[in-house]
Amino acid sequence: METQKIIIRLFGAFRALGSELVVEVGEHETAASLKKRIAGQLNGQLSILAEDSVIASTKRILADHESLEERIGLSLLPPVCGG
Amino acid sequence: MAESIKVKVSNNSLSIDEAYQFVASPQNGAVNIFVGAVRDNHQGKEVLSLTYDAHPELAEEVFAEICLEATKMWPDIRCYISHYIGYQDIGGISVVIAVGSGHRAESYEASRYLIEELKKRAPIWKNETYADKSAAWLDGVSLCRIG
Repeated sequence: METQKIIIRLFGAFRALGSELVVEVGEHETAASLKKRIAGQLNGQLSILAEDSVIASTKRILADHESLEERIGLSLLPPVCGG
Repeated sequence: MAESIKVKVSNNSLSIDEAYQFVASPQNGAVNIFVGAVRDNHQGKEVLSLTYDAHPELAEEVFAEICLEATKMWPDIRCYISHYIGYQDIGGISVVIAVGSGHRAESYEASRYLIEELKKRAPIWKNETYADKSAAWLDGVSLCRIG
């Protein structure tokens, strides 16, 4: 199976890891499977937090079942608290 | 974006006057302005400062979406949202929301809608620094239900 390295932008508590994370993904990947891969790369609280986070493009949040058509500009968004 | 909506995420100081000027119009008899500011305490801990992080492009998309929803619920209103990102001292302005409307009821209701939805949906995060020099990212609302 062909794999590809993609860059995921990080925000909030994930900034502890830097501003980006490189993740190796397969051909048929969904937002949920990407999230699982990211959680697998992380330890402790950040791994748990990744499960409660979402994958987003620059325009919108991706549903868990959505396949990753666009693989540039993806982000991992932890729970939010603006205002 | 609709002509009656203006949104932005900025690392410059927010302007209440800019918000007022945008939503005020000859047709509007009411302007409601909500200002969020950094407070010096959180859950019993003394807070020294706060740093806001945001996904700026997506935050502006979400702000515009929320404003559009408000203009559907309260037609003819004008909406403005600006949110600060970066370091902020105590008392610093973190968010400005303004609504202009024909009468006061719509501006109060729409303003409340905008801030409540922003808090639940906008990709923005807070990092507090405490008196003992420790810092922590605040817990938030998961976006999992939106996706």
